[in-house]
Amino acid sequence: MAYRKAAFRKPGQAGWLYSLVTGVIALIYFFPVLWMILTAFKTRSDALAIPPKLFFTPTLDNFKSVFFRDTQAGDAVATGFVQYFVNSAFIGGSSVILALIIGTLAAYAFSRYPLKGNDTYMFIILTTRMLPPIVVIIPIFLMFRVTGLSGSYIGIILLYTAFNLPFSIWMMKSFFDDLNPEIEDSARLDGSNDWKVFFRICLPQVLAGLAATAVFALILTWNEFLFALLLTGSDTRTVPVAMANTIGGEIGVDWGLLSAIVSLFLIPVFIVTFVLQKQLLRGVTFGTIRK
Amino acid sequence: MADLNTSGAGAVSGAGSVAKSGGLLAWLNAPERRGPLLVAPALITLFVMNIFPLLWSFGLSFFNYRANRLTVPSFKGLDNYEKVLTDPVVWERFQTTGIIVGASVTLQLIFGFLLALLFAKTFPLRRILLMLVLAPMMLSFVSVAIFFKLFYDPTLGLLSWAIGLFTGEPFILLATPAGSIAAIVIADAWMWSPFVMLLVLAGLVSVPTYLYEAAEIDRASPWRRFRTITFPYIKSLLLLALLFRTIETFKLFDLSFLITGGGPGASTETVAIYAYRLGFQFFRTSQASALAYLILFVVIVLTSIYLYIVNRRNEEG
Amino acid sequence: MSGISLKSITKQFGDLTAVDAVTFDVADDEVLCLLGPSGCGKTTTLRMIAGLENATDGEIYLSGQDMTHLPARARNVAMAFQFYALYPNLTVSDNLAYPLHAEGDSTADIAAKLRDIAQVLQMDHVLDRFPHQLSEGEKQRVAVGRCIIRRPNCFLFDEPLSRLDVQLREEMRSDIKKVLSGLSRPTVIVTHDQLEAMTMGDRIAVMRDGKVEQIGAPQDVFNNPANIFVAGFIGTPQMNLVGGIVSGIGGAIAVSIGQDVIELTGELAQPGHGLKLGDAVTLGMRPRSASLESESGQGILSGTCELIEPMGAETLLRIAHPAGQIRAIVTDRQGLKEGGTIHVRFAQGSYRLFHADGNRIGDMV
Repeated sequence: MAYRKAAFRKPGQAGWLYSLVTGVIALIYFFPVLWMILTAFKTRSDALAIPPKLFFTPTLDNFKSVFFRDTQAGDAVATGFVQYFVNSAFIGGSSVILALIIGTLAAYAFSRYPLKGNDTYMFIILTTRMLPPIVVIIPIFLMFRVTGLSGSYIGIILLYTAFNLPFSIWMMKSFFDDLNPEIEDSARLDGSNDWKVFFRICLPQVLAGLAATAVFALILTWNEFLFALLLTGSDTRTVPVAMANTIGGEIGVDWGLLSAIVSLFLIPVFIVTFVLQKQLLRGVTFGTIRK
Repeated sequence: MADLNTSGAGAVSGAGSVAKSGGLLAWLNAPERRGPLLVAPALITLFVMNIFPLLWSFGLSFFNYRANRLTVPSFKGLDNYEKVLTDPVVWERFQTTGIIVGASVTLQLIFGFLLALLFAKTFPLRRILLMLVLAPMMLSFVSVAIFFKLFYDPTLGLLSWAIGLFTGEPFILLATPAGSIAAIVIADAWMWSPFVMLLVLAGLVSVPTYLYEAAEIDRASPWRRFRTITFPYIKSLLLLALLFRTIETFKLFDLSFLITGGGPGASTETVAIYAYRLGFQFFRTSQASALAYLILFVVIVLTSIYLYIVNRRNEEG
Repeated sequence: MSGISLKSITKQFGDLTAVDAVTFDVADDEVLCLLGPSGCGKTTTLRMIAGLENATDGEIYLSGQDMTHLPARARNVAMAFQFYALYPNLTVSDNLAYPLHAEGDSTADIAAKLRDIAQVLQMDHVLDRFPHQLSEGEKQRVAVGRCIIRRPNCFLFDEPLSRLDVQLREEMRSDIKKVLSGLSRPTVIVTHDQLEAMTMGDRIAVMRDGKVEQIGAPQDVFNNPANIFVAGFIGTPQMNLVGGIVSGIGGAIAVSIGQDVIELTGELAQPGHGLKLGDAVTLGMRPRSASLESESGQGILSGTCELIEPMGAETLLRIAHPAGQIRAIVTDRQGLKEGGTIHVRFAQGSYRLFHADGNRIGDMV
């Protein structure tokens, strides 16, 4: 990374000293997460030590015991968390794929074939995303109880599909709106029908946006707590609910173990934050702010 | 505007060869039905999973339905709304929520703004450091609640230990109502300051360099430069951040629910948690629905203002 | 009937009439330039020919067939867009071959046509690149190539050169002209640049506010503008347009401009234009037909020299005359100084006379 002497630096450019200062501030800000990760590598006694230990010999025991529990016979038995991680991934993945297919088609229509009252539809769709979960959770809970969907995969996947749909529509519409319409006109003149224009010309141009939308939706679903708390059963429980149950324990929390679970849970989120830094603004504002 | 781009093409093909072949597929494929056809699956899903439940709960709010009783609910008109609106507990919860929203959003704006200033330059390792600062808002509420529960823990938490070094006594932040509210506010502000930062940063980097160069030539003072050049670019984004965060924080549920459980007493119980308790612990389903609708009303109003500003900003280019 | 034929084509966007009853024909091997200021409806007209915009009223015939209500893809027209509209996810060769797939060409045919086009436009070296790796000039070539690779009913160009720098523009102008002349297909080029229109068009249609003001060969439009708008729009520097009063209709027509009197000879001098004494008219003179005189007199305009602008070989003079500013181009600027009095004479036969309603009086001079 080339940088110039301070005396002749372009405005808005800074050197390593600045990095150092910013680094310290960033680390302080990041400290709660860091502390949790450190705790995950501590033995039980290190985790409980007072004063808290910043330096210690790390151990992977906590990570092992997330997935396996030693029985008295000395066998390693899988804990429920394997299932919970699989559930989170499966439920999240299926609902995001569904929401993305339905949402992308709708977004394309909202962008290219505006209906009467297009803006009103878009507003209502955004509102369904902005509304507090508590408003819909009561009837959905009743609905699921009546239809027997409560505690099933289908139920929670459907719900998360609807939960991800407004986000997907707004995001994808913002990507479609960014495209140059001349390119589609040109494809029509070159003899393509509307379907070919969509699949061959439009879709390839928004692939990066599609990927970003998918990943953001995945994270939102991965993190979701309240719906999962009320609508998953013991077989379909996701990680956030399982984690929350762990802190609810009365006999004192096993912080090392809990930290290990949280750390594992965070890995995908960090990767995504790093990779999608450019799309982050659009992602966290549902595509309403692009730049 | 729409007419000027591609939609015209769809309209033209109306009398084209496509529709002539007949059959259901051809009928569906007609250009004038393209928009509705593509939108239909999304609208149906949203209707079934969102709008219908909303209408149902709207209906419920006029009855005296209780989810754990078998008696046939009877129509009560606006009773539930009257009950909710005159219930002093509801107003207390709104107050609690208001305090948390006010304190947290203010802190978010301040820290988000300062962080954005810090990252408005380019410097080595910026991308990685930026990730560290942005990460909190991508985390789940449950993880954040767990961090701060560990942090606030009276026996092994860093906070109690650090304060104990000075006072010599164990410090329990979550023991007092004020302390508990502070605990929630700190956690929420920590989590969402990056959001404000991201928006402000977008404004800061969008200021064209030549404006700063011109200001340099015109010997503008740093304050004047900020007020006349920088601020206009971040003004609308700050407002949007304020609104967006107000909407989101107003719905605050998870952090309070997990860190303090709404306590001690009901000092950190937000309206969302109260509605949850009404519905799922006291089983006063109809009353909970009425309260939920009050929350929804506030959210809809704030969302429309938000979108109004977004649209105005987009039109300005 | 062949080529392109528009019959009273109209386009309305809500209350706004963007194109108002435009009628013209383009012959099989003819290039027509639609020229006009921005917002005059020229691009909308082009998009209606392409089928990208639905005409509110009127008829469009391509190769003798009524295509008014056909969608773009059924019209077999080729169009080069202002921003090139290259498919960003396809390589240059795939971009060029894209329209051929719709025509059902065989792979071998496509390869052969690609080779031809690449050779004609000299872009063998960029065939495997993606659009974002191309320079502006190369993008322009690909856009043109994608048009001419097939045998469409007509070619349409929307501001084809507006994004190129001056030098490249000149080069592409002659290249496109050369290529088009070999294809003998009706072509419509939309431009706001009169130089482009003059050089590339066999005919020019000057548009304003959705209407065609004049249509004709470039030289004809330049020499005999149909009205004041066309007169002022075509030619740099702009034609002088000064208001005057008819002060004599015996023998020759005399026009008073301020204190000066111009007597018109030739065709304009003939009676029968219906002019009466005291009629308000506008006289138009091209700055290049001016010559300097030493003193005022009949047929000479006198005023104060406001500004002397050297333009290399020539010098542009701005003269303050009681009837308005007059521009004159002279080759010799010896002895001129700003603030001094200047007398100019415009060559007889270079005068154009316009009615108060803006229309030109008389035909050729």
